[in-house]
Amino acid sequence: MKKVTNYMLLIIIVIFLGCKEKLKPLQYAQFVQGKESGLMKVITVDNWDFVFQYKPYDYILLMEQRTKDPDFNFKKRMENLKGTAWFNISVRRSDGNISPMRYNLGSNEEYNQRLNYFLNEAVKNIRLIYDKKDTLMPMAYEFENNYNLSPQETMLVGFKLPKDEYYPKKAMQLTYDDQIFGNGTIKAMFSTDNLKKIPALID
Amino acid sequence: MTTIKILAACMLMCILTGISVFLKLKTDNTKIAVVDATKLFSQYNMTKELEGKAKIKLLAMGKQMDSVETLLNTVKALKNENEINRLSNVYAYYKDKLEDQYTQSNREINELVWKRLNKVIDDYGKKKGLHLIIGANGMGSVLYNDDYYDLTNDAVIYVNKNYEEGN
Repeated sequence: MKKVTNYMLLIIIVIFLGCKEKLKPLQYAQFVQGKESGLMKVITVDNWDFVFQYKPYDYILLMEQRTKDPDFNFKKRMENLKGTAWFNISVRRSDGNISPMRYNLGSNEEYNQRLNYFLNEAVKNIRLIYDKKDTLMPMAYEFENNYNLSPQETMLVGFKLPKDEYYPKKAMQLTYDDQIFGNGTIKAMFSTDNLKKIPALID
Repeated sequence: MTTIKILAACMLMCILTGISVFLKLKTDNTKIAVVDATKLFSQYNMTKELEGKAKIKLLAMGKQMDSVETLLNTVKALKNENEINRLSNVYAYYKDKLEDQYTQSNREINELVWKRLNKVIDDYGKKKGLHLIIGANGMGSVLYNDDYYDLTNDAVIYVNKNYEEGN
């Protein structure tokens, strides 16, 4: 009898641990974008805010679903995302008064230099350390050019995970070396614990 | 009997007041900390990384200078005056360049690191509930302190965790 009780207890514990919290789309998005989740980090250096946002697959799909495309193939898209890790890196002034592209701008040439940096050079200054041992360089990069309509600049960056990693589950340290505003290396750690605590998305 | 009770109560209150005052003073004292600024700076991971990068550049320049020096020594042995003059100028140029680069990279590292450290030390002080952090730097601002107030090691751990994890 005691043995049966022990087994039942073990099964209950396993089921309890295996059950992920489930959230509706809005709550899920708020969770991912919230500081408490540990998936979004804001690092402030000399009145500059660097926002590092990790984007789980469900979050990416949730954002893409907004286009309401009837031909959107979720399964195929999920297959594409397998074995990758995606982040947004945003840069803004802490007071949010001016676009970083226009901050302390001396000339039109300087503006073009900054634009060129974000379009072509910044990718060389980004890397991801996976599981504290694998240094990964970006496999995809895009600068969201908002033409100064928003007071923040955002870079989208993707990494291919080491072999046999179907999704990010080990600690990741994202590093960006800010060469344009002279703030040096900025790092953000996304811990295994925080990755484990990502809830499931329900429609 | 009543008098004894009153006296005992008074003594107890005196003891309790004494303990409270002692604890309050002790807490207030720990709200001051001394941090060895030189150690904090040199053990900060950002400093180590920046110095590592600068070292590579400086070593490459040093090797260029060494090559010119070897050539200069060769022509000196051959007593070729024109070449000695030319290579002496080249050597002086490389030497100046190396010194300038060394000064510049030191200045840049100092600027970058302190820009970051000042804010993190602020946060550290607030989190620890400190009123004052004294930066000891070997320049005579703190003549003596024992381990009681010294939070250097704790501060080093805090600033490095902050740098590596972005919290």
